[in-house]
Amino acid sequence: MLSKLIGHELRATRRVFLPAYGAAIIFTILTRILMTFDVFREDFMEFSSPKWLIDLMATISTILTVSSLIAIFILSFVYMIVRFYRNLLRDEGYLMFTLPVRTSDLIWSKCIVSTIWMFASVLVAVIAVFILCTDANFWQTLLPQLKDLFDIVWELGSFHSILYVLEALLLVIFALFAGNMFIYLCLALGQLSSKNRIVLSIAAYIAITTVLEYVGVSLMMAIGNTIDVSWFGFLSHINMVGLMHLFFGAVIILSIVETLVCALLTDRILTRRLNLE
Amino acid sequence: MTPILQCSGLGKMYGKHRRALKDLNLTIGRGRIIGLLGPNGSGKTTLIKLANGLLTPTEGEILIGGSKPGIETKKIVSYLPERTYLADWMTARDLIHFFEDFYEDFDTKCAIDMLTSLNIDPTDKIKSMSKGTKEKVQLIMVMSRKAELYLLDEPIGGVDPAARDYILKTILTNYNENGTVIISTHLIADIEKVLDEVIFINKGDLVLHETVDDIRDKHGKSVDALFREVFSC
Repeated sequence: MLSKLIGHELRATRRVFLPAYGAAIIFTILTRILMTFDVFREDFMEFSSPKWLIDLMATISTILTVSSLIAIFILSFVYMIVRFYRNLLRDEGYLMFTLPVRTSDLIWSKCIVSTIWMFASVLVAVIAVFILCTDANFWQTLLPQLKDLFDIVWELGSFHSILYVLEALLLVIFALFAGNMFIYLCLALGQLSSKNRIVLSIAAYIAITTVLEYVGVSLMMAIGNTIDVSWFGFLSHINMVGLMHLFFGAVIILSIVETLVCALLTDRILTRRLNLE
Repeated sequence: MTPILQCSGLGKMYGKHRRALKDLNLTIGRGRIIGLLGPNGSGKTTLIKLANGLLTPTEGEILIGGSKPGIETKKIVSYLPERTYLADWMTARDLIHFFEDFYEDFDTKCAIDMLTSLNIDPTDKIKSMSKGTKEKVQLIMVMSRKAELYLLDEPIGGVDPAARDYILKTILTNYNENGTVIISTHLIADIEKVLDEVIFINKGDLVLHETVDDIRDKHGKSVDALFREVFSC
């Protein structure tokens, strides 16, 4: 059922994201074309539009490109919240929570699809940057540098390189999962109130973040005061490559734990204390 | 055969002070059309939400086909809430695909036939439909399932008499005859003629659960008249 829910969620959200991505790419291409005119302005002006018109169009197009690229990131974040709130906690929730599916599947479908769109937004931004930068000089400059980067990475050994890429990918996925699930938990807490649900959700976000930071700092200080530094002597035997894996691994595990704790709490709240309007 | 709905000592509190249902004991059999009747705020919607698993009981238990509300019971319960739960961006066709995807007992042909009979274009978006049409589309989706229990919360509330007739006709001609239909309403006169049994509920208490024939024989009056007598202010 999770796959069906994901399919439905993708259908429900693509009608917003695909046009936004399309607009961002079109503005980017337009800006790129106007930049080309700008390069050949001297020749171009003799035969065509006045300079101010090209400048105006280039400025507007650049503003639209930058705005649309910023907008798709804001959209990914805002829509992640809106879909969860509107589809599960308001009237549509009467349908969603009476489907023969687990509450956890409803939550995970939202989280996975939000993460997919966040990745897609990054991909669109990367494509836009490439469109804006792509010309013969760009590739002539970039390719040798990419080769140098590749050589450095290769020196570390192909095993470690692949592992780094995988670790970085997992880190981003689980960090996004953790971020999304944390916001879902706050929304689930907010819906416990019959009035001021949004205010309570924001209050929950601020309160939990503050408490976690306080606990985190206190814990670090407590550890710093009680633990003998020599206990970590083993770290000196691990080289930089190994330390990086250790760092990635620790952050991934923390993100997974945060994701699972938030998912479990959200599931409990929505299963036992669902409060549809 | 296991009753389709059973409540034992069922209670529900909202917060610490607001009691919506108290010590409700009720057994509902299969193949019946039942009116869940009571004034506003009597606990009808709470009972229906408990049966759907949208709320959890504070005390006692509620069983659907012998099981506590969960995935298995949601497969056999078709629920029409008192509000429109349709997503505005969807078309009627999207809705049909949605119901097909999630409910094995959904009859697509039945849904399309009903939409056609109402001249509703399946490609029309929900947001372009009037409130009345949205309610009809929602009812069509709910009644196109061959469910074992239909829980219809105020299906005729807030619609004109012509629409009420259409809704009742749709319910009667489309429900699974081995299934049970529970209709919650306070507009008794309109539905009295279709009911087999009635349940009177007031301030969370079960006041009466009898067949319509028994009410007429024992009390010598219609359900509507008895309701007015029981709930007179």
